Order: sequence, then structure tokens, then C-alpha cells
Amino acid sequence: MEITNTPKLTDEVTKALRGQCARRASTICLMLQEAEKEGLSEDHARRAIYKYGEAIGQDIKAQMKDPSDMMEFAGNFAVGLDRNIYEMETMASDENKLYIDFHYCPYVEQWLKMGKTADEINRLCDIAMEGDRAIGDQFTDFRFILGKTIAQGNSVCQLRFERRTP
Amino acid sequence: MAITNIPTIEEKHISELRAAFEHRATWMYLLMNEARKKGLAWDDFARDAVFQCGCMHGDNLKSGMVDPSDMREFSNTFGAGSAHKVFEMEKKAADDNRFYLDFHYCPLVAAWQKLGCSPEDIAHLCDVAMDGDRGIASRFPDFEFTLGKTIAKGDPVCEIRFDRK
Repeated sequence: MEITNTPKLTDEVTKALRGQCARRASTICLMLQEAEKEGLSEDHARRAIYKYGEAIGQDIKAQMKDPSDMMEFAGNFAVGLDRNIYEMETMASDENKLYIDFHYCPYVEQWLKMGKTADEINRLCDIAMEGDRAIGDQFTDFRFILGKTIAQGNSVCQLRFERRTP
Repeated sequence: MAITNIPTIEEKHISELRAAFEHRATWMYLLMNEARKKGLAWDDFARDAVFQCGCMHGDNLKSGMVDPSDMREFSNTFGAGSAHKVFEMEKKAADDNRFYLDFHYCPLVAAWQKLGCSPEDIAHLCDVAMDGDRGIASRFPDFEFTLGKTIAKGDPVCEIRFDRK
């Protein structure tokens, strides 16, 4: 499926922040490429990004009064200018779930510019999503599910947090 | 020499931009550190990767210039925009033959300090990151890039120098 990834928000601050996302995307892509040339598998990159997510998850947790409160989590996850960068839309937010759609991905944009294949973009995206998986893992009451992704050729990335059933 | 890296510009959105630079520096370190744990020396893979990033960035800068051999035009292209305030850049010289910039703050060093990296690792990480600037410079055959003092080594500024060859 061909990738569609067109931004709607184009203000200067969002563009500058996306510029850094693009540099991160280049960094992970090229670091992985060079490490693989030296015989390393992608596992080290997955661990690296997972560790980043762990720290973010712990930061979010530290700001919450009740880390099992999905509504409070919704007020702390992906807030601020990140919402503009990825053109996020909250699809559902209640006591049991937080569903967010991303309508634009600056990482995919950069990997496309770098001429990466669809399979490679899908792989890089999945490695980058280790960060979100790690965030989810810091909350024992929630489960993170990655649904469709822009990298797979879908129109949005579906980030889903659901309350674990006892 | 102990690292001194204190921002003096505190403006709307600059902190968000610095956070984005820190995010990149954090990924860079974590990727390099995990590779090192697997026995891969930083200089054997990370320099090539960052240099290539710089080359792409250099090509972008070049594509926005009328004359890529014009040092004055280059001085209004490199380090322009929000990065100027993020790194608290100061133009020390900009004429037909040279472009000298001092950085008074580095968000990458700030990130590595927050991660608890050793001074030796911070100096090494900085030099790898500067391969990005070396990559940028490689796209401008008329200019020579020199890195002088750096905040990462404990100096008060990073000295970025471009001289006409």
C-alpha cells in the first residue's frame, strides 16, 4: 500500500520541531544501518528506544496522583506541542481507554525522503514504536496496542491504551 | 575541566525546541550505548552515520542558496532560524572569507549530562555529533570547517569556524 503522509499544520514552530523529528529519524536509520554493517542486529536499537520510552513513562507516572487512572493518564500522555507535530486526534478517552490517531508522521516523511523501501520504513516505524510500548509497560493497569500505521500505508497511526481486565 | 552549560535565553517555544534537540541527543546516546554493550566501538559505526546525516543536511542548506561558494550567504544560512537561539549562537566574524560562530549553550550536552554520562563519554559524543557539521561542510568544497573549543570539553563556548580554502 502506498504511503500517504501530508501535513495540514505548517506553522513555523511545528515545522522547526518536525525538523528535529526528521533528524532523529535520520539518526536512527543511519545508526542502525551502520551498526548492521558491523554485524549487529536491530535488537540493540529496539532496546535503546525502549529505554527512552521507559524514562518517559516513568516521568509521566511521577506526575500522576493515581497511575491507574486512565483519565489522568490521558491528561499527561502526548500533550503539548507533540499534538501538533503528529496532528493527533483523540478518538476516545474515558476511564477504560485512550485512543489517539496520528494523522501525520515526520519520521515517515524523512525515511521517504531518504529513499527507504516500504518494508524498511515499516521496520523503522516498528522500532520507533518501542518507545510507546515501553511507556505502556510502565502502567500495570494499561495495555498498549499499536493498530494501523501510516508507515504501513494507512491514513493514520492508531495508538490505543486500554485498561487491562482483571 | 568541569562542564558549564547554563542557558540564558528563556523564550516561548525555545524550551520546546531544546527538548526536541535533547530527545535526539538521548536517542543518539542510547543507540550508541546499546551498540557498545554488544562490543561495537562508537567510532566504527556512529561517525559514519552522523556524517551521512550531516551530508543530507548540507545538501538541504545548499539547495536553498543562490551561490554555495558565497561565504556571506552561507553565514546567513548555517545556524539561521530557531537554532540560533537554541544554541545561543553569537556571530564572531562573517565576511567573504570566514564565518565564525560561538555557541554559548548546547542542548545535546545538557541531555547527556541528564543521562549521567561520564565527562569522557560527553566529549566523545560531542565529537561524534560534530561529524554532522563536518558532513555539512563536506558539501561546500570552497569552505574548510574547524572545530575549536567545545562546551563538552569544559570550555565556555563551542567555536565553529568556516574559512575559505
